[in-house]
Amino acid sequence: MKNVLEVKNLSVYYYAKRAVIKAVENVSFSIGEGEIVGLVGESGCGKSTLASALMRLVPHPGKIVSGEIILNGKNILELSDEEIRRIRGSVVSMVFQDPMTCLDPLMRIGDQIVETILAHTDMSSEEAKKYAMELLEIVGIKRDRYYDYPHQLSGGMRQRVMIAMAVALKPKLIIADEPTTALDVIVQDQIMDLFKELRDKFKTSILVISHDIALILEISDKVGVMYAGHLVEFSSSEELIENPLHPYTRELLKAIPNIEIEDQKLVSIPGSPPDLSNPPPGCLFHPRCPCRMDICCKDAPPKLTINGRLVECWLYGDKP
Amino acid sequence: MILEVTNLKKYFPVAKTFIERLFSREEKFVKAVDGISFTIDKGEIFSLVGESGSGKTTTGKLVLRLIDPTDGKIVFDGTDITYLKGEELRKLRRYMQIIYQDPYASLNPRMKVGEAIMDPLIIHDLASRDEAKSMVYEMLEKVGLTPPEYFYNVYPRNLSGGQRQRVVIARAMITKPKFVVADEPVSMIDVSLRASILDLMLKFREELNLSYLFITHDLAVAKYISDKIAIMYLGKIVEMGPTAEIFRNPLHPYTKALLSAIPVPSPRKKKERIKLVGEIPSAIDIPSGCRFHTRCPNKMKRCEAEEPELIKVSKEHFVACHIYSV
Repeated sequence: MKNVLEVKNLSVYYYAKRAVIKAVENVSFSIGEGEIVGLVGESGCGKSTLASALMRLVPHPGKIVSGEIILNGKNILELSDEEIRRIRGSVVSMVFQDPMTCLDPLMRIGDQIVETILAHTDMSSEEAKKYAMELLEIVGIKRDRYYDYPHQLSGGMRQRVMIAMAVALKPKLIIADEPTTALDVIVQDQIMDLFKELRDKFKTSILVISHDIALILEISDKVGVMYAGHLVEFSSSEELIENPLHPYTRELLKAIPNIEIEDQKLVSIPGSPPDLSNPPPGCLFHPRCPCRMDICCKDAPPKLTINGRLVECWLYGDKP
Repeated sequence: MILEVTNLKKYFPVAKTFIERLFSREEKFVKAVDGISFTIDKGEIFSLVGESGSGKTTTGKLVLRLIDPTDGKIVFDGTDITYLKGEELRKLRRYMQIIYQDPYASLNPRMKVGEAIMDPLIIHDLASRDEAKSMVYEMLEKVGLTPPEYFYNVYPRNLSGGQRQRVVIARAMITKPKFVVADEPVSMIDVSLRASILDLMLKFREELNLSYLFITHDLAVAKYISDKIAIMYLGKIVEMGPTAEIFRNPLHPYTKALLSAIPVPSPRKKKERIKLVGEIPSAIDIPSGCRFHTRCPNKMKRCEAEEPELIKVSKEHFVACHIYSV
């Protein structure tokens, strides 16, 4: 399978006044064609920063300090601003959490879709309008809603409009950052089905970012788990559920309620995620880790590949 | 029994434009809560589950008398509090507390954590300042904010979300309430810490034999914490019963759909899916008959005209659906 996206040793730091915050540290993974990859982690783990780096949209004072992002065969970190602008939308596009703040409240939704199409293609405005109506239909909105304003739509429908815009130019990769966090479960289910349909129809790869592990595990082919800026584990969802390697993944799976288990006992992870402006030495998870060894408190854990799965933990590496 | 709610209603009038006021006398209302009845026993955790706009938060505010009901009756601990006012209501407040969703917004940023927890004791005149201080220390230890000497003097900005929610819980528990409304208490807490907050709430239930009205959109969380569950849809309870029973034997089509929409952390398992079309309708124009009929996969002719009553199908299991009425 061809890789649509390859991220190699990517680091993104925020240069705040008093400290350098390592929001993404030495992260590597890849996404194959037509794959749905999930990225989970708690708030502040760097998952949204990683997403914005993939579009080269890291906000000030953040900077991509090292690494490569190879999208569709090209390292996007080497492109000029004009080149990257053309890639956004046409090769990689994004769906954000809150559709209300992403849509222009004073513009008809159809015209907003048309605007995207006209900016990137040489379609005439008539063609673009026709195409926008088709797109609305694909995402499950009636054609005549073209003339509606965002306030006339419900939250789920607004998110569908965002998705219509994201797929308009048939990108290779869609990045969805918490796409259903503002929506109810039933609507969430509908939106996730839509993502799967689009994947099947257009062979688009999708990167879904969420704090909801249950959701991610249900829909993705592969899952990455982030903790304090590190990608601590990356593997297929089946393997991740059946045999989680990293202690953080294991503890996280014990902390989420699963309605299919009778009389479940939930266990929370003691402590809280580290302050990234003042991180602990060694492995960043060691203060909360049940499998902590002496070495974890001193040295950063090795990045290992075990049967094609990535894991960053001393449990599996040779100790020096 | 700690709380008995009968036929509770809350209608909010909809503001009209000047033109509308000239040409129409018809008043429009958002029927946020439209006639619900339930009881909560001493020491019981009762969950209200529903999508946004189903009226669960309004119900929470109504039973605490933070807003006035349009109709119905609320009996708290043997006293009818539906129309209670002023001093009498204020006195009762120490027995009924609330925990809000957002621990960032529910603490005064300029008040030390210790003072925030102490405040209810001073307001209700339950202790002198010195006594209150030692009670606050004790409470800080109970909610796991140790050493208390340190946490007494910090400001909310120095705490993480999970720690703030512990402060909010401490503040609610310091007056030894009998009944607490917890409105989405863990939805803004990181997953790795949710269980600890829920367990803390369970610990206080044991200690004070207190009852909770637990409001959540998350059925998985409701399953973990509650004894009884009521599912709300557009201001009405559509199904109610003991937690285990609701999960083992859901009856209402809406409950079934909700349950099947919950993500289960396993990609292989093919769940039996019940797909609903569309989203929850507006509470201003509530559909006729059964208010769920516009989205119901099992709709019958009579559902459009006739509103189903909440009927008893077995001991303690209630459902409002024509499929189960004879």
